[in-house]
Amino acid sequence: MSFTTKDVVLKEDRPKTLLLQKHSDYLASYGLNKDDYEYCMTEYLRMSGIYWSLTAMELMGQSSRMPKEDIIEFITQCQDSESGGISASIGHDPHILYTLSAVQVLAMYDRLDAVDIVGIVRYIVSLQQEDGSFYGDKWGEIDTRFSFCAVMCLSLLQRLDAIDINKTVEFVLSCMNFDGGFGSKPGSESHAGLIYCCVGTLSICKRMDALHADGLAWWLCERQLPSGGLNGRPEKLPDLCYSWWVMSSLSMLNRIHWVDKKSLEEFILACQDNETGGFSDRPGDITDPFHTLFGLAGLSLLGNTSIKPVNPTYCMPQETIDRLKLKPQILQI
Amino acid sequence: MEEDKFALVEKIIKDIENVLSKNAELYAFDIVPVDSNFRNKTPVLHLENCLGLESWCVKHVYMYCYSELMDKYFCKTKRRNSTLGSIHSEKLGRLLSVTLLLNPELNTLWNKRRDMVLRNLLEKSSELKLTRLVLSRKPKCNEAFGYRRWLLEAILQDENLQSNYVQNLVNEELHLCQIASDKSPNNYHSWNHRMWLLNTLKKITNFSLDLLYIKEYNFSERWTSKHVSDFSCFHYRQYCIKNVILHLNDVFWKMFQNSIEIDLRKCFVNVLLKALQNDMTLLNTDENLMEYSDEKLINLLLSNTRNCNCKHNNVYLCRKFEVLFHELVLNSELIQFYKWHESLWYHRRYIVHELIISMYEYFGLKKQNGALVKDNCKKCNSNDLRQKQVKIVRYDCNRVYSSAIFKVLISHERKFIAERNGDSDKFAERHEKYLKFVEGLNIVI
Amino acid sequence: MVKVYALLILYKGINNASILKGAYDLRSFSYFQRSSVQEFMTFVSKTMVERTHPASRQSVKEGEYMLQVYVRADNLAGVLISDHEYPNRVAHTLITKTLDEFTAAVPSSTWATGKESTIDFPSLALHLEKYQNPKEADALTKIQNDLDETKIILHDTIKAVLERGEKLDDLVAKSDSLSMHSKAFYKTAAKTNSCCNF
Repeated sequence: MSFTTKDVVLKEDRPKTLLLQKHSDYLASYGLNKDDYEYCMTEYLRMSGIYWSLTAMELMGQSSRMPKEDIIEFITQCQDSESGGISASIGHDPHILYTLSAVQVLAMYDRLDAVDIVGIVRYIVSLQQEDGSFYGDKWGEIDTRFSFCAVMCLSLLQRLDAIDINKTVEFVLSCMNFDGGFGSKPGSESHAGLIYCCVGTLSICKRMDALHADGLAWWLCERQLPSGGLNGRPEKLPDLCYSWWVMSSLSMLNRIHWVDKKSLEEFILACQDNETGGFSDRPGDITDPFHTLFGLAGLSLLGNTSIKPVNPTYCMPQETIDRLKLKPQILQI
Repeated sequence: MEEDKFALVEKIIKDIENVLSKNAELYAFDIVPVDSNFRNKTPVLHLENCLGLESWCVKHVYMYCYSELMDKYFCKTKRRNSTLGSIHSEKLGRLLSVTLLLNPELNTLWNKRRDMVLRNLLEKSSELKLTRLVLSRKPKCNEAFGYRRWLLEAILQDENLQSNYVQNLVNEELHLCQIASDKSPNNYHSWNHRMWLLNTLKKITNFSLDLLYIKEYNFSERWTSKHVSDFSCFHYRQYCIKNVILHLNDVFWKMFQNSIEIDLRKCFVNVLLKALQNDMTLLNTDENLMEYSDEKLINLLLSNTRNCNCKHNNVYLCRKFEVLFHELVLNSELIQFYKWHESLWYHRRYIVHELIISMYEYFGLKKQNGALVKDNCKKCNSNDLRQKQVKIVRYDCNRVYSSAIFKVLISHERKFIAERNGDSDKFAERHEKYLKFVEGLNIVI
Repeated sequence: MVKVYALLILYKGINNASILKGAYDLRSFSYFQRSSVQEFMTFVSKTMVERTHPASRQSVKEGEYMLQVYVRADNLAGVLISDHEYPNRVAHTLITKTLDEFTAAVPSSTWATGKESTIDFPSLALHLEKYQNPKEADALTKIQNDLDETKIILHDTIKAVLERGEKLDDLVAKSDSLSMHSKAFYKTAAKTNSCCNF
C-alpha cells in the first residue's frame, strides 16, 4: 500500500521532456544581484555554487554563458596565501570543500595555472591525520567527505603522491558498516551521499576491490521508491540529488542496471520547473543550482544523449577527465 | 530613512544581546512569522526562557550584521592589522551571535568565535549556551554541533575536572542530542554527536563508562520503540548493543541484568523452545534449558569441537546470544505491531547478521567476497594447516549449518517471514531475498 | 516517531461543527509556534468533521500529520491528530472509546449548544497522555475488537476531502477563528522548502 511508504506521487501535468534552454537561462541569470538577501545567506558556499553552475553548463555545452575571467579572478582572490587553502568567498576561511570546488572549476577551464598549486598541495597535506583521515580545515572536524575532497583535488593536480594513500584508504574502510555502506566517521550510519564519497575515494585510489560490492549495491538499489525517485537512507523522502549519489556509486560498482532507469528518469524530469527553469529536490519545490547539476548529471548517467557524458567519480564532464588523463577505477565484474 | 533603519537594527541587536546576556536559563530561539511591523513594538520577544524574533525584521538585521562583519572584520586587508580591543571585541561578539542565530551554517563566523575563545575573549560555557539556542531552531546544524565538539574537547582536556562536573556536562549533552533527535527525525548529526560523546569519554581515564553504556542501552530501547521509522536511532541502538557485547564480564553482566526488566535467559530459552515445538529434531534434550550453565548451553547449541586449542569463552558467547535474541524478539514485536517499516526490517538484518557471524567465528570461519573461508584464530593466531583445502571448508560450513542454534535461527526467520507475508508486508519478501543473496544463506533458506 | 498531538471531541451541527473539548500535546513545537499550531489543529478538525458523513471514518494524511476523523451517527465526532507512524486502527479504536466515555459523562442534550469552557471532561487530557504509547493503549482496548479497518476511508491529502473548488488556502484566509499571527504562520510553513542537506 503506497499510503505507508514515504514517497511522492508524480502528477500527470509534470514536465516530461528535458527543458535544456530553460536550465541554461536559469543558471546564467542565477545570483546576479549581489545585494540580495539570498546571495548573502548563501555566500558561505559560493565556490561550490560556481562549481555546480559551471559543471551543469558544461554538461549542456553552454559554459560560454558563464563569466569565465571573472570566475578565475574570483578564485585567485579566495586563495589564502598563508595556508594555501581556498575559501568559499572573499573574506571567508579556507576549507577543503571549497578548495576542491575551486580546483574542479579551474580544471574544467584548463586554468590550474591561475592559482598557487604548491600552496594547495601543502594545505591538503597539512590536513591529513595520523590515522589517514582528513580535517576539513585547521579546526579539526573529521569526515569521510574530506578524504574524498583530498584525493579528488590532488588527483586533479596530479599530486596524489603527496599524501599517504594506504592510510587514506584504511581510514575510509574503517567507516564501512555491516550493510556494506559508509558513514561520515567510523561507526556512523550508512548514507548514500557519504557512500558516494567513500566509493569515489576508493575509485581514485584504485582500491575498489576492498568494497563489499554486492551487499553495497543491494543497499543502494533499495533506495529506489515506487515514484522512481531515490532516497539516501531508509524511510526518507526521495530527493533528486540522490539520483546522483546513488547512481554514480552504482556506476563505479558497474551495477547501474540494478535500478529501474525508466521510472527514475521520469522522476528526475518531474523535478524540473517549467516556468523558472532548474531542478528542485522534489517535484513542485523551489529550484536551485545544486539540484540542477545533479538532475542533469543523473540523466547523463542514465544515458541521455542531449547531455554530455559525466564522469561518475569526479562529477565533471568526461572530456575534462580524459584531457587530464585521469583513470578513476570502475569495478570489473 | 536609511539612517532610521540602521538605528532600528542597532537597537534590535542590542535587545537581543540583552536577553542573551541576562537570561542564563534561555533554552530556545525561533523566528516568529509576523508580516509587518504593525504593532510598532520591538520585534525581540522574550517569554518563558525563549527568545523570539519577528520575521519582518530578519532580512534587515541579517543584511546589516553580515555586511558589518564582512566589511569591518573579515576584510582581508584589514584583518591583518586589527588589534581587537575590548570594545571592538564586544561589538564583534554581538554581531557574530546575531548573525549565527539567523544563519548558523556560516562556518567562518564560528571559526572567529573559536579564535576569540582561544584569546579568552569569549567563555566556553556561554558558547555552549549559544549553540544550544541555535540547535533549538536548527536541530540538524552540523556547524553548531561541530563547534560544541571543539568546545567540549577543550573543556575535557583539563585533567583536574571533578567527576560530577563531567557527569553534568555529559547529561546536558545527551539531553541536547535527545531534543535535536526528537525535533528532527533521522537526524544524522544529533546521533553522530551522541556517539562522538561516548567515544570521547572512552579516552578520559578516570571516567567509568559501564553505567553509561547500560543507561544508553536502555534509553535506545525506549526511543526506538517510539520512533519506528527513524533508522538513525536504530543505528545508534546497534552502537549501544555493540558496547554491551564488548563488555560481558561478570561485574558488568550483573549490573546489566539488574537494570533491565526482562530475564534474558528466559527470553532466549523461549525462542529455543518455540522453534523446538515446530521441529523436534532441532534440539535433542528433554532437560530444563533454564538450568543449564552457559557453558553447557553453548555446547548443546553449537557442539564442542574446536579447530584450535584456544579456550573460547562460551560464557560470553552465551550472553551475547541472549542479548541478540532478545533484540530479535523486540524487533519482531515492533514489526508485528507497526507493520511495513523499512527501518525495523533493516535493524533485523543487523541482528541476524551479528548472530550468524558469531556462529561462523565459533567454527573458525569468516565471509570473504561472498564465500566462507577459514579464518585464523584471533587468539592463538594458529594458521590452520587445512586452510586451503576446499573440502575442509565445506565440512566446517556443514558444522555451522547443522548446529542447533543455526537451525533455530533459520526456522525462526522462515516462520516470521511467512507470517509477515500474511500481513501483506512487502518487506518480508525483501528480507528473505536479503538473507539468501546478501547474507549468503540461499543454500539453507 | 509515534506521537499524538491532539485529541478533540466535536459536534457536527447542520451548518458547521463546534468543538466540545480539546486536549493538546504541543511540547515538541517551539514556544512561539504553539498557539498557532493549536489554532490550526482546531481549525482543521472542524473543517474535516464538517466534510465527513455521519457514521463514517476517515484517515487523512497532510504533510507530516495524520488526521483521524470519526463522526458517529448521532453527530458526535472525534478527531485524533498524530504523526504517520501512529497505527490507524489503534487511533480509531481510541476515538471510539473516548466518544463512548464522553457520552456517558456529558448528556447528549447539551451537545448542540455546548462550549469548551462549560463542558467538564477532564479525562480527555489523561487519555492523550496515555495514548502516546499505542502499544499500551492497544492492550487496554483489545476487548473492543469490533473495528473494521477496511471501513476507514484513506486520503493522501486534505485536498481530497475538500469539496470541489474548495482550497485550504482560501478557507484559511476566510476563517475568523484564525488569528493574523496564525495566518502568517501558515503562509511561512507553506513556503518553507525542506533542504536536502542531511
